[in-house]
Amino acid sequence: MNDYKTLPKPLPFFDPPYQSGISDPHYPLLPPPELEDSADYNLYKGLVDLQSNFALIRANVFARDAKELQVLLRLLSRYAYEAMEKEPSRKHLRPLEFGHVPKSYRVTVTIGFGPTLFIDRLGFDRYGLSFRRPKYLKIVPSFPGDEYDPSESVTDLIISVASDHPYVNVAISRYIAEYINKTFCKETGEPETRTVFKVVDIQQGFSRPDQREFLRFNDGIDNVRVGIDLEKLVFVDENCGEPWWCIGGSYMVYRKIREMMPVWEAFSTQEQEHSIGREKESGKPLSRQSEGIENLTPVYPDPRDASDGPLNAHVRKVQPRRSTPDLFGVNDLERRFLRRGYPFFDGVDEEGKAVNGLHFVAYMKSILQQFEHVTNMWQMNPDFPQKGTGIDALFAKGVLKTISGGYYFCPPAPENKEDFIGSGLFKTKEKAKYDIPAHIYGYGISFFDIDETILHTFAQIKVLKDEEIVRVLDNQQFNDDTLAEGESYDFEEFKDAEHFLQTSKPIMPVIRRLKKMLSLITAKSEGSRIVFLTARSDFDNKDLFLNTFRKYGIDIDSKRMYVERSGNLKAGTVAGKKKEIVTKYLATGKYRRVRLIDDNKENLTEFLSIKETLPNEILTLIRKTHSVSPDVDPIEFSAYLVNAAGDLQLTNQ
Amino acid sequence: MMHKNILSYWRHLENLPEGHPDKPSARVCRLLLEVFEKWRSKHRWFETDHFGHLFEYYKDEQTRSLSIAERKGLAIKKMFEIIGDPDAREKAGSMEIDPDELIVGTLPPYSVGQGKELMRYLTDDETLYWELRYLNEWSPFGHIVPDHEFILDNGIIGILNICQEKQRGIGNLSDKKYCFYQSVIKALEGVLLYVNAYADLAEDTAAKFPANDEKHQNLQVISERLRKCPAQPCETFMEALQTIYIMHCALHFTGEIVSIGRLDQILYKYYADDIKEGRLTPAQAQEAIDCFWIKLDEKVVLNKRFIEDRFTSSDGALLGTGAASNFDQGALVNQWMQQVTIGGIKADNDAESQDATNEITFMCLEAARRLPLNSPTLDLRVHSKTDVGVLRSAAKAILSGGAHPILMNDDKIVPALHSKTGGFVELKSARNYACDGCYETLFAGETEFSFGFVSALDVLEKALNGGAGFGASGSTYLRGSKSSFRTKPAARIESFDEFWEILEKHLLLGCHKFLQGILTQYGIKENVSPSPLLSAMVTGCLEKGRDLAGGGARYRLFSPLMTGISTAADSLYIIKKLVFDEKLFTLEELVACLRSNWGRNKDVIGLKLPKSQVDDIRALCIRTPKFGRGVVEVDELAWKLIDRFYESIQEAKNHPVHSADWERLKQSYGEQDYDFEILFAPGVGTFEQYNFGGSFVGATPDGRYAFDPIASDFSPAPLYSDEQPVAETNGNTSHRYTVKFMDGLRSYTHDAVNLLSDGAPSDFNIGENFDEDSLVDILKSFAGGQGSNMLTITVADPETMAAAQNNPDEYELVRVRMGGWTEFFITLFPMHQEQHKRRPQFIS
Repeated sequence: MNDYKTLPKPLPFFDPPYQSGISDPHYPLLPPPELEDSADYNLYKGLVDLQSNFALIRANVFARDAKELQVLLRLLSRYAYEAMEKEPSRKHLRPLEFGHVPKSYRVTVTIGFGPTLFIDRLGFDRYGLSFRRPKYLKIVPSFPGDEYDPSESVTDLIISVASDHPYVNVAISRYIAEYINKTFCKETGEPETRTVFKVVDIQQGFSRPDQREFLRFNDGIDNVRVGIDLEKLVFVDENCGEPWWCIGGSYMVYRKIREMMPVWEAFSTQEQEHSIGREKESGKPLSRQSEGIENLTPVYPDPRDASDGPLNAHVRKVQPRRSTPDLFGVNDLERRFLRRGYPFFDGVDEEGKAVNGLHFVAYMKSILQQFEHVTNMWQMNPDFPQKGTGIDALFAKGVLKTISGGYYFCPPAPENKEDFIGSGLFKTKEKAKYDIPAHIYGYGISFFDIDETILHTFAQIKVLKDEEIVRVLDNQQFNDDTLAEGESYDFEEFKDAEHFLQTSKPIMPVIRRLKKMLSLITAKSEGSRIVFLTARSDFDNKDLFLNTFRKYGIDIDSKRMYVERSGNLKAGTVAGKKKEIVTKYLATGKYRRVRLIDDNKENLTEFLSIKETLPNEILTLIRKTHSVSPDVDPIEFSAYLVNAAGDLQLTNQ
Repeated sequence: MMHKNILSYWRHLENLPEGHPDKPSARVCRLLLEVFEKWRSKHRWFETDHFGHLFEYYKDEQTRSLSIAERKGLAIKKMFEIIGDPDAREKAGSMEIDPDELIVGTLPPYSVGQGKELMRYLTDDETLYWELRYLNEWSPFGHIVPDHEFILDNGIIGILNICQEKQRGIGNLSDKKYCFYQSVIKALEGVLLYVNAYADLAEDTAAKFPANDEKHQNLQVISERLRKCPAQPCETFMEALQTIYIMHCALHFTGEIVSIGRLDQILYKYYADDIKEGRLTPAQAQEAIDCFWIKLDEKVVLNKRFIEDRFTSSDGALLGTGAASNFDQGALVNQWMQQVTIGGIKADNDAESQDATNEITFMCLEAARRLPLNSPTLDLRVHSKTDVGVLRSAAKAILSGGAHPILMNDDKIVPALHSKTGGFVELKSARNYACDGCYETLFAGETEFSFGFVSALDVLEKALNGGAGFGASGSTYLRGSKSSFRTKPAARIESFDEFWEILEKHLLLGCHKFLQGILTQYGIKENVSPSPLLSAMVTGCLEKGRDLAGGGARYRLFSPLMTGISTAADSLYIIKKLVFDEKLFTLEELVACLRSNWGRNKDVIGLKLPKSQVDDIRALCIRTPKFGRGVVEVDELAWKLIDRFYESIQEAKNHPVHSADWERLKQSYGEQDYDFEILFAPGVGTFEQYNFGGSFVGATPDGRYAFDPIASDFSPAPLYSDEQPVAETNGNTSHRYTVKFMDGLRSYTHDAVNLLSDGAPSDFNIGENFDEDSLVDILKSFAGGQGSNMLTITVADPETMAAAQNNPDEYELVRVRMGGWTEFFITLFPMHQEQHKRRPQFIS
């Protein structure tokens, strides 16, 4: 008697970001300690391990509005997690049978949204959510071998239930079919006769431990694997161009494929192997070379060479494995997707013929670039890989027929207990928080320096002595410069608006911050203001000066934005003049928050010193204007130092 | 190679070897794939009235007291601010970037058929006042060729400087010209907000990719490019192409649905410089042109269920009609007026013209050939010295099924524009013509334009029916509806010459009415729907300080367009030959047939004929030769009609009855340095209105039933509505109405076409297996002077059209030439599909 080693069954995952039942349960990349030295583990690592029983529930929604839809989805989600987290019952079992019940039936319930949940067949945006429709979600187009009408088969929802016990599946499916609608009515106070959720049909399937299905070949022998290639092929990421709520979700393609056994079984084993492109017994490819785990992966040096198996064999038509990118610049292997199919048996048809086949269920991040490309460009393209090849032999010979199907999108898992599957669909996109301290209300005023804060500018300052130029300074040098006795600055070039317009370069991080600030105060704080506070005096052409701001999309004409030129003040240092202007604004008593964004430390230091010297009457005025209680600081100062890259550093000390 | 659906297109490319000319770059394929997917879905966009009213954003009295022009400028600026808002971007898709893109921007889905979303700015009283006159905020006409070169050369900042300089010279803030400049400034400020928001978005999208990723680098370059242009003058090919696209989007956002202009001429200097400096390769330029083409066609609606109707009573109001717009929406779903004109001769004043073809010309032809799009529509100017290589490329593009390029003959159009419009036109301007939104020939970037119809069939009916039409005779009216002079009844008309004299009288009145509409209403739109952004891109407006709609443009070119010429010529030939020459029946008997709608209407006033006699007369009429088949006796009646049409326009223009209106306009819109003048460029065209144009016309002597469609533009009449286009013999199908192409061209070869400076498109349908060499020979003949001054060719068998009606998903790429653009056959409303099926098929 053999002493078999047994690999423990992996368990499902319920945690975000991915919904359960797509990439789980799966075997880990590394084997358990007792199998560390086993080469056999290669056959398992990262592979999804299908539960033994499968049910697919298709349903339609009749919610009146998005609010009702949310209630329904929350209910479904809640039930799905209850079903998944429920432990197997041992009630009513005889004592010696307790051990027959596993710790988990590995239940997964996966919810998907159909295209008609967003836009109905007549083009109507049912719940005002069409703008968030996953971009490839639509009614399935027709493909060769279809024997159904996709527009009749489409549903609003699909719920995939999988577990290791048939009764568990039945119980969950029956609850969904019979109690979800009732529970909705009960919880919302609607009459019991109301239909908000209606199950259209329930399909059932099973899996075999040897992965073989009715054709006696191993389906999914070369499937994608978790931790190796599955995630990047299956789940939507932020670079997919999908609505943000879809990130972490996955498209599901469902096709109910009937297998015409009398046709298939009339073929010899060799004919069957040539139709599939693999050996029946070993599962090995018919190609002359193979690679990968257990040499199960075929190698096709020339996609048009029939020496590696018939060109219309199923495996060659669905994955040609060419060595160079295709016309879209995509490698063939990037078109793969996760197949999670289950055989089905539906009894016999009206002619007494067995109705059996495969629930083809596949998950991917792009229907367009994966399933549809594979089907349209390769599998059902009669001229691929060369003219006259014909479509996939299994469909061409009448072995397979598609009798139902649909496209769905399975949202990511809820992020927390308050969320539900698909809750992102209803959320407002999170915006950057408006970080005003909670105890501060009222208006704010922000002063932005211009040179080297908003714009890199290139006007130069001449240092004169006895009417002679002794040196020429740029902005940075000027900040560090000290006049010697008898020297004076000449700022004439700083008045040249044409020079300013033509030579200035934007410091985009600061400009973008400024624009966001303007947008915010325009929408939410009518009394707040932004002031450009420059050390310069008047320019020689105001329009040209202002056009420089317009050029970068700064709405300089906004009534909430002013320009102050401290250079027009006669006496004092630059920092002193700026302080004087800030103080002028604060004296109005209108502002409780004041910021200076500047590249010059001295200016910022001088600015912060205002708070210490602000007269009591101004503070009183602010308190009065804003009804500030005595225990609260009436005004808050923030000083930001800007570096050459446009980074802002808070320097309130 | 023609592809009837998207799948067959991709499968064709899949099997091609690397470097095959049909195969665009991988980037272009990826972008095209995404765009095709969008075509099949409902496009995201702003909900109706999303932009609201200007006063909702500016509640102060000061804003209310601004001039209409200033409010419009401010509304544009505010609208661009909303477009860039992150919430709007998500909900409406108002700004999107695909990391593969080389050119960014989002074209609004404002086709002529679907209407627009704009911000309102009129007070309630103003709204009522203008609604009574069929005008509103949606009335900008667009439909012209903007001067993109002006933006490329000066940048927006340069134009702001010009406006501000002009304002300083005026001083008075309430001066009309000051307000005009202010409106332009505000509109341009809005564009800068929009462009910078796009630069931000490109930067944000770049940040999602690793710094060494090609997409990251591409998006960074795009962002930096947008920071520079269009604010500043362009220096490179990519800057120029990006600027043209983003300005094109901006114009469409403001409701100015306009064309592109002479793209190959505009871009060439940048291309040549970049090639010389090693900054660009021809392959990179072709890829960029391909990307540009795709960007212009993002908003296609293939599935009728996803069409939006945003149209108002006065969208794009036609000057002089005094009625609601109500264009033929079911035909205009994917018409954004995006014409690209290429080829022809150079725009200069030299004595000898020079061919203008360059590398970009070929790149545009290549994009049109291998990208199965409907827009932009490509308009190829040709002349007797056009290189056969250009014509070969054009033939290949036409045979790929896109119904373009259309061909225009410079040797006929340039002289007509230069000297046959009734006023001064600089030779350089005439040589620089480009198509507006359809095919009309405008002086690119210098022209204000509008058009009106003069129906040849209306004139014919009135000559036959004593000043009345036949359309509602015996139902609403007695002998028909009256809208012209009462003239002699048919029974008393004794000769064809006498009949012709009566016809001329009605024709002249029709031309007077067209003129009256223009002269009494000119300038009215400036007071309700000015065009500040577009005015910044039309020569003359900034110089004069006048809006485009108020005399600003250098040229005002208005086109009276004759419709129904082929049916009129067919009918005139029947009257001449069967009635007066052969006397097979009397004119009164013919009129009796027409009043009864060829026997279908039993209540006839006056003479009533037995049904059998009516049928006999109709059979005779149907058998009589028709226009467009090279039968000189019929064709010469069409030319006679056109000659008289042209003369009538001139006569009406100089008639004293309009003197007071002319004087008023000269006073109102003339300037010290600029005389006010309106040029009249007659043409022949229906655009999409071949159904609408026939819908109020009674039965016609050629055998056509009342209200049946007429021919498109200047084309031969379609098959009768009681005939099937496809005949079946021994299991083989053939078109019932075939004509040799060269015979067809011969029908149009006449000096009269040289009077039609606005163009007279002859629309030809050919079979899908038409031989390329034969087509090249035909195009050579056209370039050499055969045919009309415009030639359009659609490739589609009527069997294909019938199959497409039954199974649209299999024929989504079948495209047909409409009156002035290419449309997807499956998107057309059924009546239009039927008319296309019944057009004659031309054979080699």
